[in-house]
Amino acid sequence: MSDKDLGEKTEECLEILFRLEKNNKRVKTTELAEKLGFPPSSMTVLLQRLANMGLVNYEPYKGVKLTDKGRKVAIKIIRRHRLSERFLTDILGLDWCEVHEHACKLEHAITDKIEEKLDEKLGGPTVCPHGNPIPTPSGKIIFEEDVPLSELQPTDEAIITRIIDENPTLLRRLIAIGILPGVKITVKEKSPLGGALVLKIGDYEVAVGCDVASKICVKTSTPPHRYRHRVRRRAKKHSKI
Amino acid sequence: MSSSGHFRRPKEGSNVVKILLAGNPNTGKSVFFNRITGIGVIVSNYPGTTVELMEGRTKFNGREITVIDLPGTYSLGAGSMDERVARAAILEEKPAVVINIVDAANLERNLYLTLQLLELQTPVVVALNMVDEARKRGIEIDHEKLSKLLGVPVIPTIATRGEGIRKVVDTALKVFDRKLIIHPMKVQYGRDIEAIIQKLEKIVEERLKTFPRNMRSRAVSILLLEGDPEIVEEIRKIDEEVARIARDFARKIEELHGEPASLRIAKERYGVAHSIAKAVTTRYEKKVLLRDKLDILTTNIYTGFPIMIGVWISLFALLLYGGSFLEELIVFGWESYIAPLIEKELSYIIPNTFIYHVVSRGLILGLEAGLAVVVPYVTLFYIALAILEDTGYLTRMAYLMDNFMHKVGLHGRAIIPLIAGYGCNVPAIMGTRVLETRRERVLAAFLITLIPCSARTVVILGLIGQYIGLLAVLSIYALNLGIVAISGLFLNRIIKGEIVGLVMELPPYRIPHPVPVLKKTWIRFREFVYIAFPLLILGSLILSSLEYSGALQPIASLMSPIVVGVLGLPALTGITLFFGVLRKEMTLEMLIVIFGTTDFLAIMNITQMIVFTIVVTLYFPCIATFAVLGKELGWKTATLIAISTIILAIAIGGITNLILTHF
Repeated sequence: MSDKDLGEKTEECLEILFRLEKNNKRVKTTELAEKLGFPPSSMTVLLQRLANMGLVNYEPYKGVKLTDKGRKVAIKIIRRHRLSERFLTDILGLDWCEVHEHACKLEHAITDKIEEKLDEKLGGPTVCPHGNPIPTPSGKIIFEEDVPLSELQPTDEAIITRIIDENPTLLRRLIAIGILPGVKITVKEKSPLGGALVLKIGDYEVAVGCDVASKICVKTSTPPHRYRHRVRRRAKKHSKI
Repeated sequence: MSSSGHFRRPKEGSNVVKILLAGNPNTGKSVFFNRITGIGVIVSNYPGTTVELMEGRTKFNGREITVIDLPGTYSLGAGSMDERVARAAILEEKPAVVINIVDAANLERNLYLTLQLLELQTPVVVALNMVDEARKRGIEIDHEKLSKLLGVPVIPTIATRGEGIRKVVDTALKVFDRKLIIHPMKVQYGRDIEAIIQKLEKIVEERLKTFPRNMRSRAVSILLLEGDPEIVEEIRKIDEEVARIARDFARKIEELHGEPASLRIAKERYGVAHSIAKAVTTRYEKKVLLRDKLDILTTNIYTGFPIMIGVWISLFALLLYGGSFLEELIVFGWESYIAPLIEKELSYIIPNTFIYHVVSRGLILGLEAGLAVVVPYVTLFYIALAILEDTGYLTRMAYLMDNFMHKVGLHGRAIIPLIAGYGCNVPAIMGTRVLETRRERVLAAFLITLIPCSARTVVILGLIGQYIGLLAVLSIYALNLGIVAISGLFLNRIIKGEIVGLVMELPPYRIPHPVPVLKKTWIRFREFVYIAFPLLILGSLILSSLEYSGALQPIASLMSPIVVGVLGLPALTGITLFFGVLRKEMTLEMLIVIFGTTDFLAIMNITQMIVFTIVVTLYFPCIATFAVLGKELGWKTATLIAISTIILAIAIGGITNLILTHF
């Protein structure tokens, strides 16, 4: 079966799976169902079907993982999604903040031919309007192992890689105060209950709310997978107190 | 200040020198402004905005100087209203010299704004401020080298001690008179971006006959590439094609660098700022200062919250005890000395007894209501607020409260006006100006009107505290907090609009300087008086004419289905609620007047007292609050909020009545 015949829901499922899978771990079925807005029962059916097509590796109760073939399809859809976003902003003149939703619809209607023409018309863009990389036609994606700033803990040092937000007011505010890609930050404090952060940037301090922090991606010297353990260990320590 | 104050004045002779103060927040800009100017400061809203501009006049070497303090901003884009206003003023107020106040301890970030000022090609003099503080932090700036690199005069200053200020003003005068010619540096971008800028510049020059606000072609080109919404819009109106070409160029930059053009340009500008800062800065061993330890204590999880609660309690105690002490003093003085005097004078002027009663009672009660609220609570609160603000503590508080505030659709900064509401709702609602979006302001203002201010506290303590007990008082407060929280959760769902999260600098702790604190207090105080006093007097005139014409009784009977039927209160208490509109604690005073007794148990039973207190706490914000709501958010919103609070008061009062009488 070629990927041209995949249904909209199936494509959406692969795309979201790819995003959730960032740390190369199995994704829980319930988590996936929640993101897709599916009832868990039909989720199982869909995953079983995808597994039969050789797109995912699915084991009930253990979770789901993309196969190499599945990953290729997912990357293709992401490419179409981000190209659609560029099309919507650059040619139709839509605003950043609204393109994501429209692109979610548009991406499934794009054929190989349209994809090629779109890429040509847009002049081969490398990033989407939000600054995320657009995969190349051969499926290569410049993949930076970054984590949201909101996952860091006090004393952590990191370099800002990108800001994933479509709100131009916030983006301008962040740039003005000196929070932009390439800048080195140190986490000075983190408040409990959700986690607003105090960052040290050069010689000054900036407080950012947890919602803002979750939109700023950073690269740390600590690999992301080690992060989870650290977070958990800290949580344990707190619960003992 | 006057709200209708106009920023633009009639044309003056060119011998008046105009100086604009620009700089980041927390750079000592307001201290600097106060050092130059005297007491006669005009505060006006920039047309069509709530952004305030302070303007002062002074004489220097026999020359008349107008100084305008622009809002503190980190950049000059169109990111916030403050930035738009600052940029508009710089471009439109010509001829003028900009004094750019730069924090020596934070040179790199401050230079970002300086570079943007240079790009706008306005004459700039840099005041390198707080060099003493920088030195304490182990930072030494070579100001001569900085001046050479920037191509504009750079003068080290310590504004808090007045050092260097005369020299800055003197230099600015020389630049204004063109006795000192400056050669500002050209902010140089990377080769490919520079090529694109120059290409666009040529097209802009060829196609446009006039540039918006007399900007130069390079400034216009860079702003277009950055996609600055304001400039793009203006250019589109002049020549659509230019805007389109600029967008194509911006896309080219994006393709070349893999990131949006606005970000790339900002990054390169930071790069320039970085290399300049690096070239002129020498760093020594850094000492750990006491304020740094204080900073850690006040933001840490374990110590931050207890300290914050301590600050709150002190603030309440100050308002409750200090405020009510002052209030009693003022009311006593007013009633025993000034009021009789006014009555006597009026009786000579006005022969007609009806008009005399209406005017004298209206005037006296209105002025008394104003004085009793304004002078003690508002002033005390303003002073405390200004001190907390200038030390830098308020920003720490906002950081600590951010997560809680998120639950009700606000962010950390809203905690400041909300707490202010416990003192007096009026300054609290004015304080919502610190919030960026209209949505947040409406939400916060609504919640503030529900918070028991000091006047309502008088009612709570006078009825519940006197006749039931402290536990009951605390439960009323708890109930109120619950209502505020639930209203917040509810409003968060129904009010639509943009949400911008918390991004806020935490400035190092500083000892507040008394002059700006007092000046800030005075300006806010003046503003309050302008809004509240006319309405208080008007309101009490209307009320007293209703009273003397005997119209109150019929109104009370009109209200009785609600007052008696739903709330289960004595019918005459409806009249007291009318007076409460002027000032909430007048409900208690009117109870005494109408019923002729100070024993409230003879008027109401315990249940009725509780219901009465709840209703008084929640219903219609007093007339001064209503006025400030109208002024800040528009009369439609103010009316909506007022009606909602009345409905809420009747509903909660009715439910309480039902529960208490049946169980």
